[in-house]
Amino acid sequence: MPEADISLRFATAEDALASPETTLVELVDGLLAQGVVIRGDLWLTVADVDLVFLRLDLLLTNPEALRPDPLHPASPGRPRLS
Amino acid sequence: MIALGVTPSCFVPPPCLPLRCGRFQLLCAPAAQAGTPRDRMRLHLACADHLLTLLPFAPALETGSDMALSWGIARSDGIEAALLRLAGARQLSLDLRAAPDRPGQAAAGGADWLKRRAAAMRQRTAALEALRRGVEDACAGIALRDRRAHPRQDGLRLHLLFDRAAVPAALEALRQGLRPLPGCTLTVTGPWPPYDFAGLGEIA
Repeated sequence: MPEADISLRFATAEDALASPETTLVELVDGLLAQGVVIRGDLWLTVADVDLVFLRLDLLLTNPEALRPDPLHPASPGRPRLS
Repeated sequence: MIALGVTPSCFVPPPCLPLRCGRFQLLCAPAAQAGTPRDRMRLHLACADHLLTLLPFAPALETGSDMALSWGIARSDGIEAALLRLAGARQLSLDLRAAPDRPGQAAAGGADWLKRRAAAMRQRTAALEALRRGVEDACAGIALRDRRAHPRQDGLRLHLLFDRAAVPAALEALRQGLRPLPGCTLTVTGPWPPYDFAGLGEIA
């Protein structure tokens, strides 16, 4: 049956992961980037083809700490610990 | 070793191994078996069969176990809260699509073509909304723990969170309750680990 004629269908997670069919591949690729993200190297892939590589380095700080310190204008962006 | 996620259980299926990480276990696998995003997703699925609760790391990320251990120990309170929130949870992921906006070949000029295209877009939006309502109506009798919707250019991606034990009933309710709509396609997949609900509520 042509893909366009299928109006309602069900697939287990294992079947979706193994399927070459476009909708299921897109759905699985959408899930690959979800979940807990810690820090590290991220490969964005479509249908098992690596497309984009990102190295993630996150800085956790109060945005205020990144602004120049008015009392010490020579040290813009100096994190304040107080 | 590649870190795959966090679980409260010490008993994980091979080739995965548990590494103690504070009050919970870091789920790890040898790099040879967890080398690609799809390998990691397969291992998540295998573990989800055995483990009641699993907080999965994004399969697209290759996270070393050392880094994950430091991260887990530093954020044990947030992880514990996430494990409680997602205890026994599984997600169903639905892809809702409507036929492309095609105003038709018989348009009598540009204005007519634009008018027809606007009408086709309205029709498509209404069809997707009807499909989404149909999904929610079908699941009305099942305890839905959470939901996430991501609009897309050609439709909508809908993620529904259920108790693991309620998933068969939810699938059956969708099978029985959904009626095909002309021009629309609906694909239901799962159960998956709760990928779309696994955020810790902070930059992790």
